[in-house]
Amino acid sequence: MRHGRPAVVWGDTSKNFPYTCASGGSQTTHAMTRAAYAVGLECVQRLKEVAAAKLGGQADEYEVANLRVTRKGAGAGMSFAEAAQHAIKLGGIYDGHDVNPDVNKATKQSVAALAGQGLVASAKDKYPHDGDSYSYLACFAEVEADVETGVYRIVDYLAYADVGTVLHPAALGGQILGRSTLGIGHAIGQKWVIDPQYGISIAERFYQNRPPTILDVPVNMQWNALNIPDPETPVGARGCGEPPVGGGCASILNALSDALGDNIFQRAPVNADTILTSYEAGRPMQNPLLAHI
Amino acid sequence: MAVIRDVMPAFDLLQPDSAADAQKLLEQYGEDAWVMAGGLDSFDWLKDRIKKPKVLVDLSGVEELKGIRATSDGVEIGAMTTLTEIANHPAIQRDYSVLAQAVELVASPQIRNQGTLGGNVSQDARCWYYRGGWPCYRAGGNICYADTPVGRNREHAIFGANRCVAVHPSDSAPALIVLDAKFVMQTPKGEREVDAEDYFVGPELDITRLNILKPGDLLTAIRIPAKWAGAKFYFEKVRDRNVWDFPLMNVASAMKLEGGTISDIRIAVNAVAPKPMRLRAAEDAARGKPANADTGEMAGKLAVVGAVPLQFNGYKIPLMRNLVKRAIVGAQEAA
Repeated sequence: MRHGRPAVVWGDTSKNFPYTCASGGSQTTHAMTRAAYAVGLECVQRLKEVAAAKLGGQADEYEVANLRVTRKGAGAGMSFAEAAQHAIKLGGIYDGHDVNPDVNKATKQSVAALAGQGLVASAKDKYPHDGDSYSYLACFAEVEADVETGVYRIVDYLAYADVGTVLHPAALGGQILGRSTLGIGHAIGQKWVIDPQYGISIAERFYQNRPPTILDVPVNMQWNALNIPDPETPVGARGCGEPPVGGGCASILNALSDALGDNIFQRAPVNADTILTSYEAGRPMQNPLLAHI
Repeated sequence: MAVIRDVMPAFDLLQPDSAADAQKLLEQYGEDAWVMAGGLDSFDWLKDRIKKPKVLVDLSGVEELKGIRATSDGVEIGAMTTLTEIANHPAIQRDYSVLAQAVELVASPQIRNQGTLGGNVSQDARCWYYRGGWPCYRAGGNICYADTPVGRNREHAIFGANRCVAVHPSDSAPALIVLDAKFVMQTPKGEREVDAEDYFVGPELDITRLNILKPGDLLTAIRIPAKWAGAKFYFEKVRDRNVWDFPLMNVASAMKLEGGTISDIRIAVNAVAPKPMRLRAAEDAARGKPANADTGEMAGKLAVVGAVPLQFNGYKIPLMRNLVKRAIVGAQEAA
């Protein structure tokens, strides 16, 4: 279907949306595409049944393509709109007066509220699922350090993702590099500062706790993805929210360690003061963090 | 403690349209008045409800305080001139590039569009305890929270501490010092002009202020004499982020060379002490010597004599030593 043809409707509890998992935990793409696939197949099946009821023959003699449901071999057919009209006439499971018994209670309420307005399909994700559905990234960074000031900059960065099927390259690229930047922030400066005597946060403003800026990341960050479908989902896709955070942070820290020497720093973020202090002393000067301060 | 409520305490907003009126208002309201230039310093204080002035004198409508003018001996920069305008000004870029470089490294483009030169040199200390509303010496209390065995003081002073260990945060100040700039003020007693380095005061003289402005005083302009125009300049700012950050340290130098020999030099650093430091001993030692790595190293070592680090800011000593070296020999030659 052409992009833009379906209407995209923003979520609103008054609009009778189905139940869905929460968007989070880097599971959204994996979980929601499975459910969407299930209800998509349900919808196709109902369209074929409606067409068969109206035009004769069996449902499996029909196919759905180009916003139409037609009898195989260039036979009779109808548009989605005509199928929706006929679904209302048929009632029952076709227009939402009956509902798929497997679906969530909230989805049942929504189907009931939409009943009689067109072809209304509902389904539940019952595909098998073995193992975990995490995504993985291999991240690479190159840093350049000035040992007279302790200042370093990131000159190159590449994140290579294993996220199953790539659904939307631009969105995935944004996700990978955006979250890599969060990880880079953890490596290069973002922090809270708490006075241990009084237990009070003293870095309250952005100029004090220093999240990364656009000038702190390389000009030409790169990403790519393997695009190998995940066998544990019919769509093949997995989520990629958080994985680049760890990769972004660790690749910077590893590059720094490689450039500066072992144990120059033992915690993140790594700032000029840590590097310069160790270089001045001629030995590592930072101890691992013993308390979360 | 500071709780951001984004609701400023009530005050009378006064918006004069001449420098004379502004000075009169400051004189009339004395301690009760707060003078605001670009607002970058002021709004933090006001929105945190830590400072509660009775009247706020907003200088944004005083046109005569804005702009860069050629004088018979150099240029005069109005105190309300934005940092962006200074950074982009052809004469500043050509003759006093150290200042153009310094102001271009201030904060972020948005802040430079709004922030002024007068505000940049007159802003208050950025110590996070003081800024957070802790009742420290500088705020009128009787303790320094940063200068304790566990106080968070990596950004604080290695020189000039006196009860307070906050540093002066300005990037433009050391550039103005090496250019031998003069700060012009309107005071109840008339116009007063001081050398750039004398504009700033340490806590030993007045712990509640970073400069000599008293209630009733208004900084109107900064005059840069032609004396150092076109000299060999150096400016470097070390900070945690590449934009929108105060200096961990900065250094500025202006140098005149005859052959390869330094005939005259001025060096200043900031964010090492409660006021910007001119390094006279290093200047004296470098004068008459070749502008090479040996001289740079010698000056750097001399510059840090007497530094007293706190618990977490010992790195500032090698940093200052190396920056002073580069101020003489440049970053490339020093490496």
